[in-house]
Order: sequence, then structure tokens, then C-alpha cells
Amino acid sequence: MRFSVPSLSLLTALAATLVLSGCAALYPPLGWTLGAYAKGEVVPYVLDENDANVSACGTGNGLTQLMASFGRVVKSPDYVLFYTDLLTGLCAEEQAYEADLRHWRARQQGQSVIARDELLQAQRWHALAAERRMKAVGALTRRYGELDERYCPRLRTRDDELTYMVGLVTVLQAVRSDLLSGAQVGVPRDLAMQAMRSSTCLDNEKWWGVPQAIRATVWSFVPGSAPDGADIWQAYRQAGAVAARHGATLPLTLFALGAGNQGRDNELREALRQAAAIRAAEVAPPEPYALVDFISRGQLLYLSDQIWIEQTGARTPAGALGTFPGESRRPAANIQGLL
Amino acid sequence: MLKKLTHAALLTGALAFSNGAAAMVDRTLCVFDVVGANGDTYQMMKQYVLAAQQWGVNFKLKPYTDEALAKGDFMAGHCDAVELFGIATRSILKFPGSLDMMAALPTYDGLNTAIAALSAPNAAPLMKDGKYENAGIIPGGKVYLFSHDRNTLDDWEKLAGKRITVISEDEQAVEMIKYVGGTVMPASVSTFAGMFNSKSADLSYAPGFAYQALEMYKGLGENGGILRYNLGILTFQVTLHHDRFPAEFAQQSRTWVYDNMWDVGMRVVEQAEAAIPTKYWVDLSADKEARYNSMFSDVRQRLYDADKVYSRRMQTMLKTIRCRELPDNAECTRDTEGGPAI
Repeated sequence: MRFSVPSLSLLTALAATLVLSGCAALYPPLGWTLGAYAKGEVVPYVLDENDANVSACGTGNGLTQLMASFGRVVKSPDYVLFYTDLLTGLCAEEQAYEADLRHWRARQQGQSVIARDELLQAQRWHALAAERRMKAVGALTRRYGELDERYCPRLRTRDDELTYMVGLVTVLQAVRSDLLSGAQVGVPRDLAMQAMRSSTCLDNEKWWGVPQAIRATVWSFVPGSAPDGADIWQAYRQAGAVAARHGATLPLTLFALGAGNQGRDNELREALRQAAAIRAAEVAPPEPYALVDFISRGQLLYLSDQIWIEQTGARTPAGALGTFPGESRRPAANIQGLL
Repeated sequence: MLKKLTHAALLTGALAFSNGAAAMVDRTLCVFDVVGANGDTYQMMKQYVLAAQQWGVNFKLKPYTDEALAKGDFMAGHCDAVELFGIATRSILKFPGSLDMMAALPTYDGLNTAIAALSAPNAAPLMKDGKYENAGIIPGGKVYLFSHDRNTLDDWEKLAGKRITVISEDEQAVEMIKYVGGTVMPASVSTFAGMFNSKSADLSYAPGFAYQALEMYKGLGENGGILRYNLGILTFQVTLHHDRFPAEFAQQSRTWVYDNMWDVGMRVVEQAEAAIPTKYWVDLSADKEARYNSMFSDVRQRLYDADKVYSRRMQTMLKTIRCRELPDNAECTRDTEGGPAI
């Protein structure tokens, strides 16, 4: 015990020396370790985690800055950052949609001042979503190269292909979020055309019809982008048929967005009905699908809610995706001659 | 288009407000749900309450886990409206309450047709009796026979000597058990599952949702089984003291409930049935099923002849719907339950 005081002093002095001069040396290995862990474990977990709201607003918001900070001491963990930024974008978009639905409800109720305020609120959230999505696009291009390069990127694994596909959808979402924000962010609009060309780097059948739906969506959003003789709705329907075979709804979500953008009410309802049919069918969704499903489901519900609120003041009832107000879900019962 | 929609919405909103402001009345709706205020039925009634505001009634919901108590409070006038199973409703309103007749409708489509017919305006005089009036019917699910021993289920003659729970007021079950030679074990909606699980009864009939909600898997154990034969379809029915409501309320309510609550009810039913593990289902061969059909046909005819507790008019209507679905059934050309159906 006599030596305890000098020993403690010595330890304190050593610790102080390490803190003052040597911690920087510890950060890179810590960065590599955490980066590898996030890439190898967190991303696959998020991709397959059913409670995607936790992924988006919990993991996304919680991990982004921690992971991004390692870019200061080691090579930027772009693969992980792509996902964390993507998730934070989704989280912001969810808030934007809620404000937008409140705007529609106020409008339906004739409360124009509230409607205007909610619309402005929605635009703020859309702007934040656009910014976050552009960060995700930045991480994507740092990892896989610029989208306007002549050659396709080297996508070594299935995970790379999945990430690239989700990345191209994120590009379209970034452009759309900026449009919905009232162009507050200034996302370059030519990114959509670049994503359209890059989509040919992915096999349409292998990726559930998403690449073809990406192309049709750009045709729908960018005037003059469709090749001669191309039929947007035919392309969406073909993509939808592939999607149904795989039990995936993302192509139908893009179909619904494209139809909504063009004001094609019949096609919008067709897409929502088909997406609901895929969700109700017994075909197991592709793996890993939870995150993609979340991206898809949020958009589908929002587009459906918009129709319901506009007409009834209340959002889509539980289990009623793919059906519309005033529309019978069953053929009329034959009650002739019963009473 | 949006402008038009907004204008129409404004106009509708203004009209609804002026109607509501003029005639809104406060009423109590007593809701029976085995689970209570967190149960599926109670949740459905929350949606109904919002709709009722459009027709000038502001409902306060009151949950009951005891069906007899809910019914008693309604009859004593403490509740202005009540939601009960069709079987319990029958002694209040004989015609709609007879809808839950034993093995009367083979499919949910058949039940949908029946509810559509009862909810149509031309059925209104039949939906009212004395002080009471029906205000809507929601599907509650098919009733199946649960047994500790799956081997007893494939032929109704094996039910002889077995102790079978019977929910009070279910005279048709008593008639059926007498017919097959079983022993009636009196029970209530709240007690039958406990009797089955503790093995003080050999068999119980129950809707699909009882499997999880009332833990009937405990009684099924390793050797138990559930007969995939529809003993009847339960309904949830709302009944009113009609003089306490606006004149048009009941018909508006019946129409709305049919148009809006069928899918809501069926979603709960389908989820509950899907939760039953495949291993428990016992399927009948075609000839054994025909024997069950014939037994139930005889039991229903006895009830028709007795003409006490069931509405003959309802029985005849249900036979017509049944025979539209299954025209090859032997009964369809016979002079039973009010005459041939074809």
C-alpha cells in the first residue's frame, strides 16, 4: 500500500501523455474497425430489418455523423455512408409526407391558412430530404464512380449491384425531393438522365424490373428523354410484370410516381392496385428486401393517402391500399328474390 | 379539378356541420368484446362511432367483457345501443338475430349476400321489432368444432357420448347435440374456452379467433384437431332503442356498416384463421361431409318445425342463398325449411 500513491501518479502521467500525443494514432484502427463492422454487419442488418422506421430515423440519424467523422482520419466509409444518408433522407421524407397530408386535409376542410402553412412545412422537409439524398448520391459516386462515365462501374458482388440499384432510385428521389421543395436545394436535374443511362448496367430481370421502371420514370419526369416510339406506360407494365414474378413492389412504386407526375389518374390507380396485389400475393419477397420494401411502401401509402384525403379528409384505411374511396371492393351481391 | 373538389368538400363540410349542429344527440353504445376495450370488435366500433356523427349521434363507447351484462344493461335501458353476437341478439330481434343459424351459409360470400339483403332499404320493416331495431351487421368468422382428440371429428356419429360446451341461448347447438347423442355442457362466451382447456369438456365449438385470443391451443395439445367444416358464421350486430335515435339513423347505419365494415371485419377473421397451425385442421372426405350436411339439414328442419326461437323467414332466405351456392345439395329440391330452393 505504501507504493500505491506513486504508482497512481505514474499511471496518471502515462495516460495524460497518451491523450495529449498518442490518441490520434488510435483513431485510424478504430475507424477501420468500425467502418468494417458497419459495412459487414450494420448495412446487411438494416437491409433486412423489418422495422425500417427504426432503420431510417434511428440508425440513419444516429450513425450518420459518427460514420462520417471517420472520413477525417481514414478513407471515407462511403459504402456505409451511402446507406446512412439514404436512411436520413427517408426519415426527412416521412416528415414531409406527414406535413403534406395535413396540408391536403386542411385543404379538403377548407382551412386555407393552415393548408398553406403545412405546405411550407412539407417543403422544408422535402428540402432536407433532397440535401440528405444528395449526400447519399455523393457517397455512391465516390464509391462506384460518376454516373456520366462511359463505362459501367465494376459491381463485384450482389450487394454492390443492390447498392447501385438503390442508389439510382435515390438519385431520382433526390431530384423529386428538390422539385417538391420548390427547388430550394438546386439538385442538378441532369442527374436523372444520368441515372437513366446507368440503369442499363443492371440486369432488368435479376433486379425485379427496377432498371426498366427507372428508365420509364425518367421519361415521365424529363420532357423529351424518351427514345422515339417508346411507350412509358407499356414500359411500366412490363416492369410491373417482372416485379410481380419476384414479389417486389418497387417498380410499381416508380410506376405510381410517374403516373402521379403526369396526372394520369387511371394509371396511378392501376399501379397502386397492382402493388397491393403483389403485397397480398403469396410470392415471397426477394432477399434482402426490408429496406427496399420500406422505400416502396412509404411512397405507395403516401400516394394512396393523397387520393383518400383529397376525397374523404382521412387517409387510407388499414388494409385498403389498392382500393379507393367510393369504390366497392366486391362485386355487388345478388339480393334479388331473397326477401 | 382540384378546385372543384375543394369547393365540393367545402360545401359538404358546411352541410354536415349545419345538420350535425342542429340535431346532434349524445348516446351510449355498449360494446361486448371478450378482450375488452383493446379488442378487435371495440376497435371496429371506434370507426362506427365516427360515422354515426354524420347522422347526428355522438356515441360514448362502453366496453363489456361479459355479453350477458351488456345485454342486460341494454334491456334495462342503461345503454341506448348495444353490440352483441347475433346469437345473443336473437331474443331481442328474432329476424336479424337468426342470421347466425347453424351451418346455414357455407361461405363468407354467402354471408355477404345475406348482410347485403338485410341492409337494403326494402328489408327495413324486418329489421325492427317493438322498441328495438338493428343498426348494422359485421362478420365475426366461421365457427369450427375443436376436439382434444382429432380422431373423433371425421364422422358426426363419433360425437355420441361426448361432452360438448354450449353457449347459453344457443338452442340450435342444444338441438344438434341432442341429435348426435352428446352431452350438453352449459357455458358462456367467457367460460367455454376454459372448460375446453381444462378438459372438463371434450369438444367446443368456437370461431377462429378463439384459438389465440382464448388460448384454445392449450386444450388442443398434441392430439387435438379442428374440423374444417363450417358450423355457422358468427356476426356482430348493433341493436338500438330506436325511439332514442333520429328517424333515419338505423337505415343510414345499416347501409354504412355493410359498405364500410365488411372488409374491416373480414380482415380480422382472415388473420385469426391464418394463425391456426395447419396441423390442427381435420378435413372431411366428400361422403363424410355429405353426412354432416344431412345431419345439420335435419337439425335445422326440427328447429323450423318447432318455430320457437328462429325466424322462419330468415331460415328460408339462408336456404335460398345456400342453394344458389351449392345447387347440387340434396336439400335444395326438398320441401324443407320453407320449401324447395330451386
